[in-house]
Amino acid sequence: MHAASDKEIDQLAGGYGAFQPDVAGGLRAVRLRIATNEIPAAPVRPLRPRRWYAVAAAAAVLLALGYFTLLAGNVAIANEDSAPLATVLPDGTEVLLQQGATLRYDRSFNRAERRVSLQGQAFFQVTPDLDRPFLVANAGTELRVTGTAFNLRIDGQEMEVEVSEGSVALQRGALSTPVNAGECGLAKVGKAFTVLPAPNLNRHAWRTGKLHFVDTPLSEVLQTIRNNFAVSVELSNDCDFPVAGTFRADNPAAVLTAIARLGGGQVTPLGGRTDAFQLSLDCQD
Amino acid sequence: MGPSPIDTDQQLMLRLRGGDADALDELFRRHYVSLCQTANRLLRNEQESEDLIQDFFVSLWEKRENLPPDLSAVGPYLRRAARNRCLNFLRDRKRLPLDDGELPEHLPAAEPATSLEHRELEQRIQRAIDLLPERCRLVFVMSRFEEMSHKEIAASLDISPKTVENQMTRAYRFLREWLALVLLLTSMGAAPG
Repeated sequence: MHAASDKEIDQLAGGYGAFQPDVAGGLRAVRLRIATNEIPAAPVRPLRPRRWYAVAAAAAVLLALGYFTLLAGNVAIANEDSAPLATVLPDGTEVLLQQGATLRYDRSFNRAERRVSLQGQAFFQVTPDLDRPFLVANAGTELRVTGTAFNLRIDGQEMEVEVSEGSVALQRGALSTPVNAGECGLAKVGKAFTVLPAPNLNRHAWRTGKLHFVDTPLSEVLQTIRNNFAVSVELSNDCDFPVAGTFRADNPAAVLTAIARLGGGQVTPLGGRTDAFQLSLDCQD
Repeated sequence: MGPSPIDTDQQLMLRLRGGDADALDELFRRHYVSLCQTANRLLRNEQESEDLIQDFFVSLWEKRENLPPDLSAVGPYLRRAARNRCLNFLRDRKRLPLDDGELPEHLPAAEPATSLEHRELEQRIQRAIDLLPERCRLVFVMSRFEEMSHKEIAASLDISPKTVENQMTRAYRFLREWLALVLLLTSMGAAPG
């Protein structure tokens, strides 16, 4: 038996701390973080109902912008204006409501849990709190969050969540499906949850002003625009072609015009409305 | 034009400074594993290490214009910057040791090795390093793996160079004794008492 020398110790210790990290996964995470950080902030009207007296004083103004009701401690915040409406919930969670969206919660919010309901589309930055899960329930499905950022669209019984930071879970009965950053989860009544990759965070476009497509079929592009801006878009014929590129998405008309140009056609508002468009393309096949 | 495999790290850094995202990707592919391992030696947590090194690359991109223009030793530069991040991370979370700490009096985990194969002895030693008091462990890691001078280690842990020296002596003595015990138990084929 000999005592080991320092040199032998050094040799034996050589692999200390070695492990094999996931390089491709790490690179995806870095790209996503960079893309998310580079998104310019959309202009918004702030609404911070933290102090009730301030809210009461602002009621007259709010009536013009959206509406905000307090009945027996129940709160409903609706945005009827075209600019997104920013609000802060009692737990510090920040919510940005798209035009036409209504967020509700009651007086039990932030006691044992943080339960809200939504109709329409909103972006949430949920304050982390492991003890009080943040829950959004709709048509038998529950979205469970502890602290993360995501875009949520609820249209009737359909719920679509696209996560930009952290992760959330879609739950129904005993079934629970995680949705991670850079993924989109879809819940429809009577169907299994679907989770799709969403590296471009296109569902956030109404807020971020940016759409990025990589060889995406036109039909899918149009659906993204419909869901994003709550507009109707008709296609005059059966044209379909892959769309690639980054589009400024400040308003639906601008994006549709850019896409119409790709297909050698034009876009016209239907009946003078601002939320319905017809796309006429010239495609030969 | 994207980076080609023959681009040197130095050329990649120049491209990164100029806003070439492909250069960042290539630097990531080349250095991610070794930087994660450096972080893991200090943090002893693989997930934290990966998160921290990813943060580091995000900030390399966001602060690319402030990168030194004439960087010749890119590897050591990245490694030093990553290490500083780790130490700040530990400091922010109050995980930097405030005193020398105590070595374990009993050696509860000293079991005879099933064989005296090199691979097994390596694992034993690596586990024994984790038994060192945290200050002693960090000093050992910085000196042996990060090849930092005693002066650099002293500055980054806010201790005296003399303490660094003492901790190195202490680490080697403990590891030698530990190894001797494992070898002894193995040769006796006995269970630890």
